[in-house]
Amino acid sequence: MNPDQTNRPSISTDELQPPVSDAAAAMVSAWMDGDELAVASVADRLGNLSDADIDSWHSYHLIGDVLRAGSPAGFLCSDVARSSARAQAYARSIVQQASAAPLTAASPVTGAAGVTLIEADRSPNLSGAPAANDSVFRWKMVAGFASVAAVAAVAWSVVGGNGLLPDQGAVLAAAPVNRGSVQSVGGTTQFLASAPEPVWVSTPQGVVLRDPRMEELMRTHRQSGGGPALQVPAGFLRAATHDAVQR
Amino acid sequence: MNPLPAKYTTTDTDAMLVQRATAGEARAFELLVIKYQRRVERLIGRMVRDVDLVPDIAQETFIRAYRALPQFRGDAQFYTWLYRIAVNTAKKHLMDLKRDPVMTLSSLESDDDDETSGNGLAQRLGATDDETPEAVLASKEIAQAVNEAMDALPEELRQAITLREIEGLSYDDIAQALDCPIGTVRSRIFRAREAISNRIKPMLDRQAGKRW
Repeated sequence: MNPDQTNRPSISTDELQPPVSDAAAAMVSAWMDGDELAVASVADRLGNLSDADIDSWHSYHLIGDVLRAGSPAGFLCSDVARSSARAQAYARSIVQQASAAPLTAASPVTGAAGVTLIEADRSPNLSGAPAANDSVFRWKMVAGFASVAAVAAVAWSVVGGNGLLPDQGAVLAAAPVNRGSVQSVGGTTQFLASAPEPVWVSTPQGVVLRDPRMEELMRTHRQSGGGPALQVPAGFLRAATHDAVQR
Repeated sequence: MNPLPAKYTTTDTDAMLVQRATAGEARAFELLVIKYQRRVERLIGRMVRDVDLVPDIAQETFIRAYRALPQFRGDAQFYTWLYRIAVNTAKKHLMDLKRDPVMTLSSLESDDDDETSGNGLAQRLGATDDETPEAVLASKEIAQAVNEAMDALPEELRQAITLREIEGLSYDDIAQALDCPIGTVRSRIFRAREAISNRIKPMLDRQAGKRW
């Protein structure tokens, strides 16, 4: 036995008796309470809800607001008497205005259809939309040739093939240190003109391998490398000195 | 016997509507606007002195919410999220207009989003400044009609809709409290709503021609 049938005659007046066939309104009532089956059912026809469904949605929520308010002063607002039609028009205008106004750059953009309308109003620089000439292949070729030409120009200037004499100091800095190049400068540093190969030198500490250029440097700058670094002899420390005799 | 799963929450409805609105269905967001318009306007009306500002701020609130829908992660209830947008929008307007709110924002935040707490808030305030005399009169008439319709309801219908709308119980909880199947609860609540709606609809239609 359907328990609803037992409850229905208990309604006291005909005025309070809803239409038995009003299944759509009953579905809306259950839906607004989160009834799982009703949610699933309405979800399938959300875009096709009738005005009567919206009326029910509006009035049921209004009733809930009034009941929760408890007293007349508790639910008062400027639009409490607004009809369902006006509420729908208001809601529709909200969506239209939100869709028409430009979207802020901080707002995320999804692939949703409703948001795509807003996306179309955005600046091309921010939207990442394809360029107007994106479909023309020759523009891509032009861009490719321009890129290759730019790379070639940079490479040519780096290699030095531009025909201009570079700065002499830069050449000296870049040239490998060898006897011929140093001599071409004018022999200002004579020790560089000597043999750069390391030589074996016999010292009190034994035969060591030394750079002849370093030996020449030590001889030239003896005044700055004469004394030991430590003034007071320390038995456990070896005093460093540039003086070859003391080494 | 209850063949239905015991999951009945209003957040499911809101979540579905938000999801559909984010996916591009404008109708879904329209339903959310219809549902929460009164709450939002009442909230804003408590924050600003000028009654003329309420519709503008409410409109901006919903527009902001619509644009920010993709950012709504669903961690909180939709109205909690909408409430925050409304408060921030009203704050912005107050800053722009160099006006002082009727009450402190901290006390508003403590009330959060619940209608029952809003009731207490309104009672503390008495008659708020955001109401015109016509709106007060119309609201009283509607409230009186709703209350009279409630009194005229059969006891089982009145219990069902009271537990649902005022106590906020789920269908499952109501079924346990009233010791009846969930289908019966669903039917009783619908019939109660429909009966009350039939009482107030002529009143709403009559008031629709007026500007509030």
